Amino acid sequence: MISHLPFYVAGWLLVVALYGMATSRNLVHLIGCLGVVQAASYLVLLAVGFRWPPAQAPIYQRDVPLETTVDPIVQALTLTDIVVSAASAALLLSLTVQIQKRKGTIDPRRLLPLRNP
Amino acid sequence: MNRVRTPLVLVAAAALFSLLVWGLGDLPGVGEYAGPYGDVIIRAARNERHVLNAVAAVNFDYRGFDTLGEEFIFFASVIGVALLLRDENEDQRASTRRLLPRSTNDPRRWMPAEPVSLVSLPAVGALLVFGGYIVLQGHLSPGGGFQGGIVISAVALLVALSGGAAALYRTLPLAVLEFVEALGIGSYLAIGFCGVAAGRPYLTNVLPLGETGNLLSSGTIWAINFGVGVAVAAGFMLLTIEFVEPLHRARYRRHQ
Amino acid sequence: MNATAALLGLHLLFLAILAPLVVAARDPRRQAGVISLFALVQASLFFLLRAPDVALSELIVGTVGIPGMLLFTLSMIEGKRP
Repeated sequence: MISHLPFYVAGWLLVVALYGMATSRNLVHLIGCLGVVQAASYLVLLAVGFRWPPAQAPIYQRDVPLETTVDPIVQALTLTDIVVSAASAALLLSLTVQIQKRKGTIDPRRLLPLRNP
Repeated sequence: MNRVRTPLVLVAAAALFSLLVWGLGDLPGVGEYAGPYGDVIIRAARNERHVLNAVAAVNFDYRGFDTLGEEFIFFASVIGVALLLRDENEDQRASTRRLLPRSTNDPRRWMPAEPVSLVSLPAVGALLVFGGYIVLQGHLSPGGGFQGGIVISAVALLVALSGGAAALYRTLPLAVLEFVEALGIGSYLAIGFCGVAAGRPYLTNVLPLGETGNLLSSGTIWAINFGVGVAVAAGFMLLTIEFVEPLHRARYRRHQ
Repeated sequence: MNATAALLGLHLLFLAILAPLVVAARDPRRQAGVISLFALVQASLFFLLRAPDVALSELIVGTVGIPGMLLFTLSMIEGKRP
């Protein structure tokens, strides 16, 4: 139970953020909640590769013999994830600016496709 | 509508949460990582690739093709932001340039509070050095092209803070940034072809590996890391300018 | 080792508390501040999980980059001065 705590916390983050996105009244707020969804994925990835008792970070020094380290692959994946999250947030935010310009609102409930063609 | 939706979302969220707890609970516990791949990379990276940061080795060599795709996601999003935020007609920017105040006692001139200039101008130099250090040491210590590139790109924000759009146009011309961005991404593509030229698969590490721990070591990892640093620095500067510039443009229009 | 475990637990607790706060901050300007704090806790947690590369980029992107972009977008939408 206790050893799965990071996974459960990640699930909690995901669910809470999805609730926030579903009930959001502002697209900018919604994009903020999306960041928490992505945080859940970082936490799961890093928790998968972690070693207890705490192993070394996957970074060596030149003449020191190799020791057990945590998994570098999941860390590389998380790193990629973070850069993509910044890029996608920027793209979504500029889409929000365009929506505000064209429709005059960024409340998702007033942006229903059938209401204002 | 709202009275139906919120309970519905709550029920769905509770169901999803119990599903996640049930599913994740059967994974090996945190800290019991036993998978062979990480350990194989750990052993291979320092001896085979002469690199000290195994994360950089995974990003730029072992899974280099993934990172290439990720770089193009970043590139596409910068292009998308530029397309969406630049005003519909292209001569907007030129007309803004005409509006820029010429003399120092023009009331429309962007005048930051003095403490802001005092902090942000020296910080430009510090950020350049620090960001460059993080980029260049990417294969030796934590850091690399992504992190260092973003640190460097904060320069655009400081320039906008201390000098407004006029300073941005003068010091960081968009045409130059766009070219540097393309150069960074293009160098990644081109380095990949070094492997093809040597008769090996795309993105094979065929450049001389050098001595482990030196700045110029680890072959293509170092080169790709540098290219990514250039691309990310220019890309985030472009993003910053696209987000900051409309605000300044609106300001000049109000003063017109 | 027990100290590390306690720190890990504390960070997870902070994250679990801060996530609802991010959602509950319905004013996006306030939310940007909470997101910054949330990312700071995340970066610190990633250091504890022995992932300095990830922590460094989360520190830069999460505490400064994304909240900054949120604030710029809000200013643009509301047409306020920079």
